[in-house]
Amino acid sequence: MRSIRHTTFSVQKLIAVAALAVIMFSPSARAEVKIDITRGVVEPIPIAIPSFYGNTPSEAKFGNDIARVVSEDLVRSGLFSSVDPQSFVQDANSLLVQPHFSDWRVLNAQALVVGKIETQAGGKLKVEFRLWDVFSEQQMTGLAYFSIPSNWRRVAHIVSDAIYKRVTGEDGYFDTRIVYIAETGPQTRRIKRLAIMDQDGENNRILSDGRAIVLTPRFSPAMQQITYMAYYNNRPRVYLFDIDTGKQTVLGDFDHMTFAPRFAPAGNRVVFALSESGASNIYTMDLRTHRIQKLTSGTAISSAPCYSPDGKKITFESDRGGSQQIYVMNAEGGNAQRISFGNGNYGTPVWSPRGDLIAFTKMHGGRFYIGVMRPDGTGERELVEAWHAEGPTWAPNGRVLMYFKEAPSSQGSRPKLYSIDLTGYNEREIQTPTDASDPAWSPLLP
Amino acid sequence: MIYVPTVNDHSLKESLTVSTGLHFLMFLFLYFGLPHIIPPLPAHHEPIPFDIVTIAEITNTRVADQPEAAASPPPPQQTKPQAPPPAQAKAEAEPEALMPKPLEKPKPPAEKPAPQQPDLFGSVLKNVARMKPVESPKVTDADKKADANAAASNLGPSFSSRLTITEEDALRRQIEQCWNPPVGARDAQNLIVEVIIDVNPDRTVANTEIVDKLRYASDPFFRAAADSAIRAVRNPKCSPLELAADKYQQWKRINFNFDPRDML
Repeated sequence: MRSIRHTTFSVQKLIAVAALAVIMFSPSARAEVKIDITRGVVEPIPIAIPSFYGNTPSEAKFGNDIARVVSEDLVRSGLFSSVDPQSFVQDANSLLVQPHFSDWRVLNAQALVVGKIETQAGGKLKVEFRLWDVFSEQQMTGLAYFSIPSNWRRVAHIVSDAIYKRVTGEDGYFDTRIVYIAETGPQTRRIKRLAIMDQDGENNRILSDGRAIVLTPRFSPAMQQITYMAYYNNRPRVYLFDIDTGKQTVLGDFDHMTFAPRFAPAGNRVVFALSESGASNIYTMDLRTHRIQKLTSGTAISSAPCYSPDGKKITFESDRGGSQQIYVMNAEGGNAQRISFGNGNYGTPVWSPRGDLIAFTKMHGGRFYIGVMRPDGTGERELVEAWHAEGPTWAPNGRVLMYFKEAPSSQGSRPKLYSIDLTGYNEREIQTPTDASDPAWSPLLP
Repeated sequence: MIYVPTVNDHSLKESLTVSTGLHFLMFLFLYFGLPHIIPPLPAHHEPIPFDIVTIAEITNTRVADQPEAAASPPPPQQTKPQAPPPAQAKAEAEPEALMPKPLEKPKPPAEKPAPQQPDLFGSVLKNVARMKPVESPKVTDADKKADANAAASNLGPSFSSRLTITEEDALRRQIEQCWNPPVGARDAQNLIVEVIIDVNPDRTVANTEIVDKLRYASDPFFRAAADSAIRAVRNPKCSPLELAADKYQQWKRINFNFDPRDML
């Protein structure tokens, strides 16, 4: 009996030891060669966008136009480069069946967009597309949209956003608009009107009549409203403007000058600066109750307030420390901390919609800079240097900045709008019919 | 008379069961717990004996991998493989109702394509105030020669059962030329992607596998970064891979760790 028992235990032990040995000394099932890749080559991704297929001439025209706008959107972002359509081998129709990936690899395309236009009963367009990864021959995304034909440009921007999002992981910003100040007339009698356009400069239109000078327009996160400062009857005050109705209302009834307005992230209140006997302080006003709250006090000039995207903090510029610098305080006021410590003066801080950075204008040594820093003041980087550059505004995905810039000119002030990627590359001018300043980027259209 | 060992047999069975159970538990503990307690052996830490034979004139020596990065045990609960994307998700959008009527006829300005900047997207984030030149991973002729030497010197039978540092460098340099990392993404420093590839004997890539499938399915930033890693190893520019032909057993499965830390 004992011996049987003993033997059994020995066998078990043996198995256990063997199993242990197998686990400990067997070659791992995982790969043996392990290589760290810590550097790469940042370059635009080559993307091929053939005309979307259309059965009729009119559908084919839409297909052509949409593919062109999508291509222009993506190339303008700096993250994509367009593969020359002249080199395409496969036609739009056979693409719908199955892309010949080897043909596209030869053209060095890494991504391929295949689309199709169909007219639906009732005259609506159905626009569908698929995004293919040419190397792995996998579909990355595929979507379809329905819209009235006159809206084809907007559909193209939505397609661009979908492609951008799938490839970069970030929301796109192509289906957005820009409000800005359209400047015309001689330097002595400059006319500054409120204007709005698509982010690519299309569909430009003027919103105000030019009788009053309009400055610093800002979009509401809820989209229907813009807030700005205007000089009506020589009284500089903050106004609200409804884009859909064209109705303009003054914000509050103050005896003093109000300026530098900006909406809270929820769109339910406006933060602004109010000037009183040489000092300037920051206030908020609830748009529903019209209740006013004073956030800073003292004799310094504090201005250009901007909420953090979570609504808990406000960044602003102030000369309370002797020179104009950027501060961050609680949204209810208090606990103001200076965050800019570089050489020169800092102003117009704007919190990124993704929360990780604050963009600013900096003046140093007679030059202007557009830069970014983290909300704690670290990681400062200047992206743009110019004779005059000002007023950064973020694309809704926090990846691109727009601002206005001008070079010294014999004709006086000739500002133009520019955009630049957060990495500091891909600066591009936005074409506007007139001189332009003070851009403000809308959120993605609803 | 036949002896029937009732009680003893019972106790024997019982203890056998207990013993088996305990051993099974111990087995489980060893299998799942041990990799956490004893750090796994680093993949390659003894290159010296072999490098004397095969090292090329120019190489990028580097610090050894940290043990914890070398091999973490595979997650016990593997997620389902990523389902292929639906052929066509239909997103009904009727944006026309939301568009305000244009007050004026839009005047489309003649769109002139912006000139391509020569330095369009360098290797790192730009700072005009302190433009510090940062070495970009350009392959010089010397590098290429070194790569060729590395490959050539390994055509014959080799002493080594592992890839030498020179050989790994050649492969690393090759893949670096094909990787387009998402440096502008939010928290790009956390977008570290581990990819395992299976390589065909002709040194082309047979299969790619993202190790962290759960994050691939849930984090669009990670998914974009992982796709950029896959594009790097699948890029025709980087095919076939620069590997010594006689070491197929060593490189038939390669673990790449794509980490943009030197770019940020």
